[in-house]
Amino acid sequence: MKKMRRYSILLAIIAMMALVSASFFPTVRTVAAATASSAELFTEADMRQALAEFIGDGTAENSRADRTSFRDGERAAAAWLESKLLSLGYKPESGYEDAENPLLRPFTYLEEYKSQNVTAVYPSAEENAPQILLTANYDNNYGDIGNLSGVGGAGALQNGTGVAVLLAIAEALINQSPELPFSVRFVFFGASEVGLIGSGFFLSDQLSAAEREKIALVVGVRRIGVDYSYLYTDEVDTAHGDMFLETSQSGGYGVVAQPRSVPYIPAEYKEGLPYATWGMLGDQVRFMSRDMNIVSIYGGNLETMNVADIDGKAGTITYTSNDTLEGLQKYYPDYGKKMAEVAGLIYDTINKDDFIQVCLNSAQSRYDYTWLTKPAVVTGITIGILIVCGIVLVVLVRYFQKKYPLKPLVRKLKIAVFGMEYERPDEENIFVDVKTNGVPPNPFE
Amino acid sequence: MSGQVNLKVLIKNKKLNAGIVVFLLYLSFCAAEFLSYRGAFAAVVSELNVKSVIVSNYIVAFLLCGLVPVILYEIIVRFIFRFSQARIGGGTENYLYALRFFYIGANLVIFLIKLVYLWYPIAHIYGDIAIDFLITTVAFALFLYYVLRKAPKERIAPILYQFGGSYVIVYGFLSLITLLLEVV
Repeated sequence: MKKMRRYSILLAIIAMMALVSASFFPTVRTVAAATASSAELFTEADMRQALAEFIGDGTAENSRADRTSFRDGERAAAAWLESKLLSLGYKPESGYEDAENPLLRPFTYLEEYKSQNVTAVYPSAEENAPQILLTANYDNNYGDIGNLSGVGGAGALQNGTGVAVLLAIAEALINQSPELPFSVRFVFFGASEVGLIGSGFFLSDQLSAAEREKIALVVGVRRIGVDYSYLYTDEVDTAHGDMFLETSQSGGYGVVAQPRSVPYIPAEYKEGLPYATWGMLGDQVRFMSRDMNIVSIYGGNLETMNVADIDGKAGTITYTSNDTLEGLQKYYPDYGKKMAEVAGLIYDTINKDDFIQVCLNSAQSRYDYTWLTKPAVVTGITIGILIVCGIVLVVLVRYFQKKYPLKPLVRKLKIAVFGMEYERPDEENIFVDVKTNGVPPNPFE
Repeated sequence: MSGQVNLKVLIKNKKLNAGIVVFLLYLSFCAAEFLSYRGAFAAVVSELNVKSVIVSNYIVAFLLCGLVPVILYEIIVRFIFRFSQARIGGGTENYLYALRFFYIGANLVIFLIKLVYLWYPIAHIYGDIAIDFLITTVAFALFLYYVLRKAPKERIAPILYQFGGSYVIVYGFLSLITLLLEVV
């Protein structure tokens, strides 16, 4: 019996350790090869080529390595993106046909810093159709800007890969010309690395209220090409997130859900949520704060002992001078394959028959936890706990005061005039023996 | 009986060296605080752009997060128990030794409850406010019960009010600050 108890305690400890370890280090799912169709549309070689075209060949005439926010390099990259989208066949939107730069949406930050977003729309086959946004930031922190020091890296990984993935999808849509019951807006955000500035302006100033209402989903793509590609949609399971994950599983795209065991950062990225996780990093969090459906697809490795948001086991090159095409080739030679998988995943998912309905209905099926994070609720519960504890404390003190009354220890000083033999010593009184030599004094002498 | 660990005997006879008990207490604080504070550690190492996995790993995060709580615990508890000696008489060293076991138990329970954060991260918004305070208070109440069962009858009231009052003042004040900071 005693042995059984010992073994069962040991088993329980081992089970708990296994449970905790499994939670910290989730296993990577093995997936089948990608489907034939997406394999033809998005090849590893094509993705490498797309990224190399975006970064440029390094010559003065054709280099977009320096895309520092608010600088000329960023403007040049925006102009290149615009000409690329126009060359693919994207048309200016209504009202921008005669604009000098019909796909650019400029903005000025703090009345001094100028940047621009780049946007193009693949139209829907239907009128007044909903819209999805496929987004990526195109700037980098190559040089110094404000208080931020530049790192001298071309931003090939962060976020040239995201840009190249979206450009590949944009080209595939034009070439395949699917008739979709929704429009697809490609948005390349500027001034993102300095505080998500471009997406803030896009959401508040560059989209009308009617256009915002039509948005069914926002997909953000960031840092693709490293060890793993993760997908994050919200703090709870979502229908649209499940759809992307099912597509990834069935199509063999290798994109997995961000584990729930990731550390939560004590910072407010999404408005109203007092913590953040790695999946919230990026421009899509602006849309998440407006309770829009989002999908964040980002690269990293959350399965090492490293607690930070790292690229992978080969080391972090993001925001370093190694973030170049050569650096990517050296540290993460499979980057083309990962980019092709993400592009294939997004393309296949948005082409599903029920895609837009799932997105539109996702909010209804999702558990609304926002009431839990409202400051008034948190304050109310906190004050409630304090009040309950105070009442319990008062009740307990009164109970114990009755059961164990606190008697002050007052001791009397007694002098044993006739010696201690004639006294009964007790703990409540202090006795002073007046005998000097051990012989009791004769009181009659 | 041989080979079985009797916790009561362990505490009563002080079979474990006090240093070992303090180390176990430190590990228990690490466990209790780990799930709450690994994110703050991750944010700091990311902000400082620390590349080396020797520094920015889960083990370092685990060992660091219990350091401040155990230091604060030892300083405050030793001070209170020394301060209480005059009021309740001697023997506070034994109480100091015993209290660590109750806190070790409380911290392990806190760690087990906080495992729910791995599945429902939103739970930590309220968990960090309430769990530590409530579980630790229950453990301290059990400690008081343990002490009062062994204390002479005339000492019960002074021990109760001295220890209980000190706990309310110190921990209650600290918890109040934490609660208000969480809210603000």
